[in-house]
Amino acid sequence: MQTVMISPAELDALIEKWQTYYAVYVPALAKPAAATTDWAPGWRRFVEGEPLILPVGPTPASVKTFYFPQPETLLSFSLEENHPDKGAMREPVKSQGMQVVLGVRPCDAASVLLNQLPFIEDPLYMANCQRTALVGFTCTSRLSTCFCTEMGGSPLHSAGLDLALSSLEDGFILEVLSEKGEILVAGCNLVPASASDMAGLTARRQGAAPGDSVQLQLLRSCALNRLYEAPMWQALGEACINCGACTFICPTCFCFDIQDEVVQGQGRRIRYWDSCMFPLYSQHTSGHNPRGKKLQRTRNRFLHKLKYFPDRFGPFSCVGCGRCIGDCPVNIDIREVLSDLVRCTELE
Amino acid sequence: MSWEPGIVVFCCNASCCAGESHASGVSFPSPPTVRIVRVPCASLVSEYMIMSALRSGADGILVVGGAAGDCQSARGQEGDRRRFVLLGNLLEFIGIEPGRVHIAWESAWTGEQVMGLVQDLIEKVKALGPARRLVKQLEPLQGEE
Amino acid sequence: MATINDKITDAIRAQARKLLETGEVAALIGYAAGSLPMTVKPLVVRRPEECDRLVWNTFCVLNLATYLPEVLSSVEIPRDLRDPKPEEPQAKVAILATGCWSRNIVVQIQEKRVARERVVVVGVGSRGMVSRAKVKALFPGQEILTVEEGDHDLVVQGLDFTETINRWSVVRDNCQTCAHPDPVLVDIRIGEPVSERKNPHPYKQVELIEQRSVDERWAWFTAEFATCIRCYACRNVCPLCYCPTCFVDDAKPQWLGKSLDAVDTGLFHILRAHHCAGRCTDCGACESVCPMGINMRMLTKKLNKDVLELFGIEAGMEPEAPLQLTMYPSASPEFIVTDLAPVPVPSRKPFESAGIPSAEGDTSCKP
Repeated sequence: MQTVMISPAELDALIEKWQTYYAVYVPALAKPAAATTDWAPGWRRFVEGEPLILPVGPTPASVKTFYFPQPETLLSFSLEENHPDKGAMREPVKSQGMQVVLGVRPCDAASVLLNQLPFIEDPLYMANCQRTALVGFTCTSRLSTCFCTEMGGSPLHSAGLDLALSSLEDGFILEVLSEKGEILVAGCNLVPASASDMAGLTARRQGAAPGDSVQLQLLRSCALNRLYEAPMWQALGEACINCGACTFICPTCFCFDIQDEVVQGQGRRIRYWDSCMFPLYSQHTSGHNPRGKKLQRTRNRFLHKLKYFPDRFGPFSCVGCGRCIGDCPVNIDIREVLSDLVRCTELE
Repeated sequence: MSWEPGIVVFCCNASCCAGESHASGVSFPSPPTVRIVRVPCASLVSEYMIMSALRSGADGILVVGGAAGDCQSARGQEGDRRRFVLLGNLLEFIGIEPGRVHIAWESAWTGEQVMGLVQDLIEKVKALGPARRLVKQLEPLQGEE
Repeated sequence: MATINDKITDAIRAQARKLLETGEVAALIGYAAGSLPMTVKPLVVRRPEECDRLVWNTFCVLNLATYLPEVLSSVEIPRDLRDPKPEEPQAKVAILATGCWSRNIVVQIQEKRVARERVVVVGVGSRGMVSRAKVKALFPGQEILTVEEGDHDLVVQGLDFTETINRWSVVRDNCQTCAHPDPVLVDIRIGEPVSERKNPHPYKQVELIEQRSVDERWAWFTAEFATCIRCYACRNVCPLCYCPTCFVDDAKPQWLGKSLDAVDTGLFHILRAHHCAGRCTDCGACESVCPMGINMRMLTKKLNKDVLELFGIEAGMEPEAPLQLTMYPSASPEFIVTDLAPVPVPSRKPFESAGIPSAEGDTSCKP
């Protein structure tokens, strides 16, 4: 893999070249003026000639919508007599074309790797991984809600990206990190980055190296029961309104439900996003609901990210993008939950 | 082939029963595109049913109920009339063509009256064209025409 | 110098402490400071020493009545389903309330969600709450780090800017057109009463949409709701939405699909708004909490306008009044209609004398 220099003009030319071959998406900073189908929540198709404007901090919506579309058709069927699909479930032919997502931040790139852990055997998710190329920019500034460093990430990290751009005074260092990245820059005559620029980048990265903080290590070693029975959940569950805003804007929330939708005899089996905040999420067929109370559902979300997931898969299931902090209707701040939990581990 | 609008009629069993049986009889050729749903009381017709019919592609919807003071359930329509008036206005507000959803209250409907209402609605809806708004469509599959 | 809201905060804390210390109430529902600028957290205080966490400021956009039924049941002595109802009076709960929140408490009393004798309404006149989205929109691309609140202006500070903006210019639309900023139900008053406002065009936004053509209205509706992510924050934050199973979760029959289909999303918003008809007090919580900035309040506002124009009623003004959508005055000629077009009403309050008592129970909010 190579590391090259690229000027803003060369980058623009490169994006325009991708545009002719692939579906290129950029963050949508404003609501669309009219309803369009060419739009994923928070993202829009790149339009030639428009300048690429990136917000400080994470993009408005996470990249999970490209890997885990809402909804995704799993199978199709028909209820009509005489239809060739009557009594048969057919897998839809999925698009194989590459999609390029432009303007991804390191936190979102890390989330893609995290979500691959539970989805590793899911053919649809992995197929979307195959066809999606992430072109990201490392962060030069951060929002007050950003806390990737507290979650073991780094604003300069490039893991999960196919192409990583780090800005220099007069251009970018472009790191090509995967085969998809190679394809994207193939045929471009780019100058390899100078040794001093590469050394500068490495030095900057060393200042913000990823890894577990002391807080996270405490959480890791604490027994689950103690966190589960912490008194803090009472006040938190009381304030939470149990909407799904945090789970839907979260890059690492991946729960789904499956349903059949039938319209005029034709049917689709779809997979759509579900949220552990909704009562129906854990309801049994018998009517019993093991998480029937608000408190239990709120607790589940945080403990899943900060305890169940790391216990099962290793890393914490939160990348510190801070989207949920800004959008929570009742200002539940995951950083406060984290520090309250750590305080719990210390109390005896 | 000319397009015939699909009409859903929610019909109060008590006050419009005569109309319904008349419609299916010989004296009035009820088009096959008209579906009559008999309900025990017109106030049983909820906003869900009306929206569900729209979502399923009904081109016109008609609710026929008995008049005030003439209701077999004493005060059956009480809560309903206000709700229907508001729902109809709201649907127009969000851009559903006026005339698609039609609600009628009268005592002792005769078959001719009900079918007259249906005919009026068919004419109105024909002028509007097929329903497109709030009609659920499945996502087209890749490679499908 | 202490601002009006600082004084109100102090008075709320003193009052809350008094209520909890004397044991008159078991809990008080209020607000604590949030972790970000322009945010507050709902807070239930149960011990006098917690009262200093309470705050009152211009960003209290949620409707605290949403929490009332749940907090009331949390202070009851736990009993089994078959246990007899206790004879002694149950513990009371105090709640902060502005005009619209108090009207929602009235609706809850009308709908028998809460018992009047168990609620102590601590009334605060609302000077209008500020919309976080409106302030943010003034500083596109810049992060707001602190917002200092004065009586008539806000000092907004970011990394490289400090600006003073007029407070009223960023007050939420629903507060700007509000006619009843003072609580209609008060047990304990905090601060000065706020006089009723006369607004010549309370429904101007709705009228602007009504004047458009059908196709333009449809274009507005589809574009406005296109970004909905179905998080249901608007539903859950609303004090009117309390069905044990919401219609979106009904399985058989399933009224609408669950994914981000434009039709299903639109139906959800239409039906949700319709369920609030005749009950909505235009508190604006739904619009304030939407993470996608959708103005779903236009739908409920339209219904409020119709309810006022057709039935001459505003929701939640009198605890004794019957529920509006359970009434059908049979003598009213304007209801012998054969079409859905709004029928003009000759006088403002046509049904007062028609006098059919309300039906038992609550049919306006049946799930």
